[in-house]
Amino acid sequence: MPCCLTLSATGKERFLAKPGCKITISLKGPSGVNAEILHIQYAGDPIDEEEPFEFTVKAGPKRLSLLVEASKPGALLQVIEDCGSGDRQIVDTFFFDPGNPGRGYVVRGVSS
Amino acid sequence: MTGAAVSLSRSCGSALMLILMSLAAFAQTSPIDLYLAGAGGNLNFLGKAPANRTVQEVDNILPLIRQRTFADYVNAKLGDDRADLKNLLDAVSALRLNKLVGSTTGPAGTTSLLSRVAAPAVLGIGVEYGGILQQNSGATTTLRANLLGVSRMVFGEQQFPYCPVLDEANCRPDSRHLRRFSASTSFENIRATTGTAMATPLNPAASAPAAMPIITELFGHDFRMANWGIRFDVTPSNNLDDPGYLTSWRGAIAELRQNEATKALPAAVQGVFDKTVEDDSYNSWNQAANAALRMTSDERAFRLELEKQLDLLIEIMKAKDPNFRQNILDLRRAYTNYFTVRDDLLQKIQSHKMSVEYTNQHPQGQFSTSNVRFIYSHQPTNFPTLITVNAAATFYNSLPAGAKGAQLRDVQLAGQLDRRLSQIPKFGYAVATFAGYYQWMKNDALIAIGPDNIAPGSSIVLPGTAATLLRTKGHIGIVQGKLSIPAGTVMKIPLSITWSNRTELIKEKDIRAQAGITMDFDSLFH
Repeated sequence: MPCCLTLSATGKERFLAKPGCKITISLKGPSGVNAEILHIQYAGDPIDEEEPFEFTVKAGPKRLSLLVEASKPGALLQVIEDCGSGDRQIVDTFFFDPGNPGRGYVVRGVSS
Repeated sequence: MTGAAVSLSRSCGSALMLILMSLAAFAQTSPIDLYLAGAGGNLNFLGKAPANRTVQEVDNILPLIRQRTFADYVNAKLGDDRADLKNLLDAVSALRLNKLVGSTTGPAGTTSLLSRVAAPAVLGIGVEYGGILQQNSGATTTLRANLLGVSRMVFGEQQFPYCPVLDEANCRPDSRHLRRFSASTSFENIRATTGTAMATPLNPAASAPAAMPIITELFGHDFRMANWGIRFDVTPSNNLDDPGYLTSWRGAIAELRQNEATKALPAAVQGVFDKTVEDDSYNSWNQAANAALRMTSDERAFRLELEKQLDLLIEIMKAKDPNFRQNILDLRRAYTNYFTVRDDLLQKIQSHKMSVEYTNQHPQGQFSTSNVRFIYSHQPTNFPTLITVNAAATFYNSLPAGAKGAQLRDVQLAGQLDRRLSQIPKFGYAVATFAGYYQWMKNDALIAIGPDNIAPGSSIVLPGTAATLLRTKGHIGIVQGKLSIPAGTVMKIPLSITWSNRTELIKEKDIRAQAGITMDFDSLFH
């Protein structure tokens, strides 16, 4: 199964994806660091409080919001899209800032 | 003015001076510094040449990613840094075992044998009735404040920015140090019955049966200050690589996930951003701001450009959303609530907690004393069980003329085991407590007698202004079992039964049951 999310080159949105595409998100930290998603919200709807965090892409610009925590400040974390059949892609890499545990991305659902 | 009032005003004045000095000593944080606080490695891309910076690297500094500090930035820019006084006071975890809301040991009516390590975030008021530790049945009210919480409440976020427990090492020194201090004062409500009142001995173990025959004229009724104190938290930071910490962290995060403060956060974020994301006005701004920021020559230019772009975004959002200001306040409040719960949970998993406490005690009609106490607590396993140990010494502030004995009054040792029980739906967790207390009285206890040296209601002439009660020195032991039943988010009902081998003044065994009410009003200020 191909991955849904494509990085946008414009900066107008973070990701492009086809409407109807089902996305599974997870978070990974370095060895010896715990990292967890506490909450995920997409297009104004809460998705789930437990893994797997899945949502289906809607048309237009919609906000995807993650609430993340890690056991160590400054740890390098990765947001990963699980594309199925063992395929995965890293969609974001960042240093954990405990003062900003909420992260938002604009996902634009576009048909082509 | 009574001695108690003088002492109270002196204590309040000292606290105010300390706060005012802290205001003068530390510079105000600029809005852009507030916004970038904690960005750390996410600013590493500034070391690259502009052409090599990626869209995503710059995106990680923009408001959708830095939601909380963006809200602080807006608040600072719109010049209403004090509007969120209530936001700075927050939910106090009902799960917490080591939080002190009752009086520290000493005054009338307390149902605790020893002090615990943590103090409420901002304000805790505990009212407890009854108690074996002193003979009267009056109420004791304790006010306890954390210096960082009060400072943020009074002087605002720009003066004292948020300092995550997890990242204290990178907090501003003033915030880091202020968080470690808390101060308290306790008031007793002494009610007269037949024109006389019971003398109240100096100390937790100074209890006596209700019919104790030490009757003398005391100087007041109703509320009076019983003690004031300061506490310094000396808890070392956790080793973040320790497997035990990582296991405890998972437990804390599981609790945090289920907390209402966590569940309320997404709606607050949505209120600020979704309008402008879905009509593309935020996205167009993001595109332009990202391009401009990528091309800045150095960090200084980047900060100037970022401030310019953020100000532009504020204008866009204000124009699109008439509730923008309120939504920002709601977001800050939601984050404050979330951080309070998170910090509370993370403090709870600190493996070895330690505090040093000084208490200046003013027992009614008695000689004032100073108590220095070391408090240690530890959760040895992942089970919700907390061990607390106290070691303390009490000194007379001054010995009365003619009194025999030394300045050192007594030495105390106490231990307590708290075990969280199952949850009562919608009320919280009940907690079972088992405690033991030992006191060594170096000399016989001193009590003050009025200037006329005659016991009221009798013609008995008492021996001077300070009387030494015979044969009170020696060893005192107390054992207590307690069950704290939650009655909502604010109130708890502690029920306890206590046995003692003797009191300070009476060498007789005593067994007593107590019921009380404790209230923690932090949670009312959501």
